[in-house]
Amino acid sequence: MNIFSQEFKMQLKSLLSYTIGILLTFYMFVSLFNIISADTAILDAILANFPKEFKAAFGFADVSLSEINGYLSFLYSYVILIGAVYSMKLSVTVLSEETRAKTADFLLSKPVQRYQIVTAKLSAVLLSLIVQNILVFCLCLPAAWIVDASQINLKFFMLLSGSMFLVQLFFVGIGLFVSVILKKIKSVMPVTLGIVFMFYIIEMINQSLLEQKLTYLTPFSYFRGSELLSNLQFDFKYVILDLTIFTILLLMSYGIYQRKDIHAV
Amino acid sequence: MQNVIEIKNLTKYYGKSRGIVDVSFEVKENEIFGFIGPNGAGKSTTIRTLLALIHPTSGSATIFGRDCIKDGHEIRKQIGYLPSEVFYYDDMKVIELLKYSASFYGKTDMNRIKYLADVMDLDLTRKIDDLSYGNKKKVGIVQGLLHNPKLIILDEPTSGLDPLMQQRFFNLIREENSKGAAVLFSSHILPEVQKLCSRVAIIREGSIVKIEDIDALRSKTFKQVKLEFKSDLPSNFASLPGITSYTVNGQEATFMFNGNINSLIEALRSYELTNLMVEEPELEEIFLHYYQKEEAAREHLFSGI
Amino acid sequence: MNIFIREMKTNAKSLLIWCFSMIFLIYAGLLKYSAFAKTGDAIMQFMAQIPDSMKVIMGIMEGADLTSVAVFYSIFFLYFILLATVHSSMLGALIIAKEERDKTADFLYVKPITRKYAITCKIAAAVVNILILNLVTFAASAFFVEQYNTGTPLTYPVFLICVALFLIQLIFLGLGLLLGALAKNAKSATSIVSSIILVTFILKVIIDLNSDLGFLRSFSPFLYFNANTVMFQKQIDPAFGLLSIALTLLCAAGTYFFFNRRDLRC
Repeated sequence: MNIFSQEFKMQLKSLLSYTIGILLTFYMFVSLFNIISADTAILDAILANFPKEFKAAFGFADVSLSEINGYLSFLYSYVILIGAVYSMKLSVTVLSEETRAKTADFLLSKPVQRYQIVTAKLSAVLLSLIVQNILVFCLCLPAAWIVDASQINLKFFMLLSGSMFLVQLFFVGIGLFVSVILKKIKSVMPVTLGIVFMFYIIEMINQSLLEQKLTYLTPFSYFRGSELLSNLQFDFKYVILDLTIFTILLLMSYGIYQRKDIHAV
Repeated sequence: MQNVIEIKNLTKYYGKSRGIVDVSFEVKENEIFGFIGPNGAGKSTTIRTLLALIHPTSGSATIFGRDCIKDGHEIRKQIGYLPSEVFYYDDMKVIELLKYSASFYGKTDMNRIKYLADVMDLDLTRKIDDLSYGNKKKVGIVQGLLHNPKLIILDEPTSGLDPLMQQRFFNLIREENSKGAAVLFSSHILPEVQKLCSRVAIIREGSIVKIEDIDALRSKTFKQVKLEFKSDLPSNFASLPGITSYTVNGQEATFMFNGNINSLIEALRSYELTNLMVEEPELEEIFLHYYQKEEAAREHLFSGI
Repeated sequence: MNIFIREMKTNAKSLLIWCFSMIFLIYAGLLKYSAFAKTGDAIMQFMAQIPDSMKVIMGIMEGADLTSVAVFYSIFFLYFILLATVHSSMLGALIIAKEERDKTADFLYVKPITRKYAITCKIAAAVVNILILNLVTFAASAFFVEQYNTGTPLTYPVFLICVALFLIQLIFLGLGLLLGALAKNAKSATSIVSSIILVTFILKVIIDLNSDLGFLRSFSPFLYFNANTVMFQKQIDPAFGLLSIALTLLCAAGTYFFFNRRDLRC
């Protein structure tokens, strides 16, 4: 499909920049592991004596930074943040860019149906995300391996990587939806950063709470590294919630875009 | 007579690609000066430099005797600019934009705004976002003229306007000109340039190729004459001074003539004609001659220029 | 003056949304504080035992009473910065770049004004905007904190936190402005400044983890002011305070310089 390949080509530069950003972040954190682990070992000994609530208050919960898997789950939350900004930016851009670049008249007068356009663009976005996730997985695992091969739990690492993709899907849904309901988006970044950071801050507040009631409100809480580590599987109710939100927002976006008035330039 | 605009060897390179090279011309006080050329020739570049939107690589441009870039903010008090692409702040109503525009020039003359809006048939209460392209152009016209500028720079001003509005617009320009304003008129619509301007500069590929009075342009060209004779064609007609490219088709004679029209009439007196056609080439043809890269078939028409 | 008024009007709606977000953030966070306060004494024991290096990460002061609102509130400092950073950098970048983006540059810069004047009006409007966000943060914080406060009034420490916040807002505003004047278009400007936010944020996390990297502190405005030092020692590090102001002024000067020389495309 021509729209699909055109769209994917246009996304390549972004894909490259953000993926490199993620890799650099990962490598930087991972290279510091050995230095950190010494300090944290002391902390762990103390923490072991205290109930869960206190640890939750400081954002450590069950993880031990002195151990590679725990460290990975801590650092991965930042990787996911970057990935989330990326997927949000992509999905907000795909449909609204036509209006901004004034190419809407060009594209929408072609013999294609609106839903075909959405599908083509969405496919390009998903492909970009899949490529990114594969690259990140393949290029990060060896780095972690080099640092501390013996302790790495492969299943855990796969869960971590999968969690990034799930979080990104959430933001694809939100991004597409936002881009069709807003009449005009003049700049993509303010909307992107504003919304992603809002969800991120809710997660941060959530972490410092005892009952963690806000978990449902933010995808960053659905697949916490610490929980993945202790359970070694996804909490399926959150996977379903994530995918459901994604699907509903997606369908609504299709519907709204179908009927949307595209104004003259 | 003072020069309102003086451009000397103005050159602008965008990186390595040429914008304009050694452009020089003057616009005199109170004249309507045409500025024409093919797409990409450098018209916009020249105009944007006059308005200090871009900075020249070399050369100078002065308006009212003052440097366009250095004293730009002062001289622009007296300049009205109508860009070819009109975009305004979407969240504003027409009247709000006009008031905002007026606030840069000192006192706001509401009567003038109403007068201009009336002439151009512009609804002041509408939101800019809701306007069609042509109506946005009208906003541009009112916005460019509401402060009674002494120099009006027009860039494709009539594109998007219906024919009636075009006429009204030209009347406005003539009115301003009669009040003393000078006009720099850049356009592709050659009949308009022909109607309005007294002098014209033709630019092509970044350089000026001609600066000429409109009348002079016309008078220096040949006329095309076609004669239909009742019976036989005169044999020695072609030797009349001023006739070139003489061709015969049956009883029709076609030729180019740039001699004394009276001697032609004298010569024709002794013959019986069934038809006589004398055509002056349209200025459009003259201009196109300068637009084209290859030598045109009618090159001979212009050998006198 | 007219440009200033226009900018204030145009940004009003967006500013309102950001202010409400800030108020909501403070309200929601402090609302949960009461639940947390119930766990009292055990926390004090815990505090006594952790090594100093870890205190940096956890943001806790020697002898601090964790159940006090003050400590809880100091953790918010980071969230404020995150929100305010996005706001001021986007505002700075767009207020300059949007004229070309929306093609209104041909209208505005053809007016009989110097570019210096236009930029000054825009910067003034931007500073007023971030100041308003800051004042709203202060008012909401002071109000909600006092609702839960049992000890001495915390208004002054909260005020200092907001001053520190303002300094960081200024830095990112400056960065946004500079990039708005330098970058090719609005999309570039906002992308670059977003990357700067992400990088400096992650840099903060890394430096927090590894105190050996402390020398890199000046590269991340997130670290210029330590929440605890501000709240409990009631002190804003003058060196970093000056650095903030210097950076902001440098960025502003750069904005004027580069924007004056810029060729305006439409």
